[in-house]
Amino acid sequence: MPASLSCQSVISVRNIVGTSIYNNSGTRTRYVTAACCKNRAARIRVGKGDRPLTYEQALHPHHIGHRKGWLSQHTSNLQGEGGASDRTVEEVFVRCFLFGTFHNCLANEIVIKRRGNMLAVCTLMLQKLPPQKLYFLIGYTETLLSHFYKCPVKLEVQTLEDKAVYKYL
Amino acid sequence: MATRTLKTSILSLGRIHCHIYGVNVRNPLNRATYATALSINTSSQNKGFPDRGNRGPFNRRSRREAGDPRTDRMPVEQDWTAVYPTATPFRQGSVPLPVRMGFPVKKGVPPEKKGNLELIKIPNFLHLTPLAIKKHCEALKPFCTEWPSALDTGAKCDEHFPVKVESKDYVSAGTSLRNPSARIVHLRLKLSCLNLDDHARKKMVKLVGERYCKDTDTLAITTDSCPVRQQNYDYAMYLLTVLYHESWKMEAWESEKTVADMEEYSWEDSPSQKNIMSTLVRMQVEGEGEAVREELLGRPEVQEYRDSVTRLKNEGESESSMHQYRDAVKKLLNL
Repeated sequence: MPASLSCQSVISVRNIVGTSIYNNSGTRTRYVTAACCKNRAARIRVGKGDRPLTYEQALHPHHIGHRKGWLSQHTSNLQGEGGASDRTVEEVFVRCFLFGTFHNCLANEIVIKRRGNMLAVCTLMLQKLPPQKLYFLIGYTETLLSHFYKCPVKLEVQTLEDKAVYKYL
Repeated sequence: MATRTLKTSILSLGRIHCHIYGVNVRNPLNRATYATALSINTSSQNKGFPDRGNRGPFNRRSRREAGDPRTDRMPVEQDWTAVYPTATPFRQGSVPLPVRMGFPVKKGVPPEKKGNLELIKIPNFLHLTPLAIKKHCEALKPFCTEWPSALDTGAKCDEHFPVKVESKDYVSAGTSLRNPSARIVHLRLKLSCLNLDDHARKKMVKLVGERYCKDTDTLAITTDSCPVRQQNYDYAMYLLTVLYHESWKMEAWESEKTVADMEEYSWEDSPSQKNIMSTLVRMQVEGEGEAVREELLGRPEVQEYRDSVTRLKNEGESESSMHQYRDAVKKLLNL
């Protein structure tokens, strides 16, 4: 799950006692989703020291706004503007879609920018695929997402040899 | 469109054939190629496999080297507007600056621009250099006309165009263009530019109520009851027309206007006038009659008294108005 979406959409529940999936008392069932405590969200814990982390993974969510920027920016999060939930759902879908389409090729999280109607998806990729395949997947993504969302979707790809390592944990 | 967005680092300067080097030295990190005992030359000898040309999985010929970044080939006098013609995210191979961004590790420096997501996240203005803006302006000039030279002061604009209509347009990021707040229309004008006589003006002010501001003499009508801006504008103009015509009409019941309905205080026929007249007449002891009253009214002290009382009642109590009233009374009563 992408680590840092906009601040408002981090889903966190504290003090959930027990994480039972359902309570079978007679005819009624209760379904409880798994808890994600806010002090464990989007954090990679300190380990042996051999695991390379990118800047995005290394900094924790409370650093958003201080040492990290926002992965997506749009006007719906401003005071008095509507459509924030729609934009968030769209962005979650776009991230999952790209994660699956460019399997193992993404070097870092996806940055989504909206310029008016247009959705500009900025990605950093590794040079794993031959260029023809990459071109095809880029065109495929753009066409499909434009048809889904009825707005122009532009994919801006930069490639790297390998991931940019910030530190080792 | 896909090719345009792809970074130039993927495009190679030319094909590099593997068999020149003999051994695969270009894959230290074990990416998409596979270790194989076969050499390239067997593809021409081995008739068992169908020759798939350049599409086989063990083919290394089409694996290109990443080219040099564009920054290595940038002259100093280049046209920057060709590098960044429109708003695009930061491309580390196209920006020849050694920018660093991010929080440094301990005893380190901020991470470099290569693979730096922070630089991509922020909006950049690399496409808005002064030269680029100048070019935009030059391109837009044929579509613009000069401001009329006769309208060089604000007063002249008000004189020729007294009615001001204001509405807002909204731009937002999202799949829909519509914003319901865009239908609101504000109409402003000064009442002094309308042809109203005294009665019409007072009636107009009473009709509009709160929409009239006395200090600036401005009538402001805001319409938002219709769903479309054009409809709201038409409604506002209709309201203005109706107000104007209605204020000129004199209804029969308007003649029953009492003193309590008056907007301003007028001294004539008021208790204050009656009182002061009777006081002065008694002081004079010369005789009664209309002529005496006329003569008393004509006196300057009485005029002063009238002015001061009118001022007190209309403007409220203040130091200067109280002083004026005190002086007028003193003069009148010869104190």
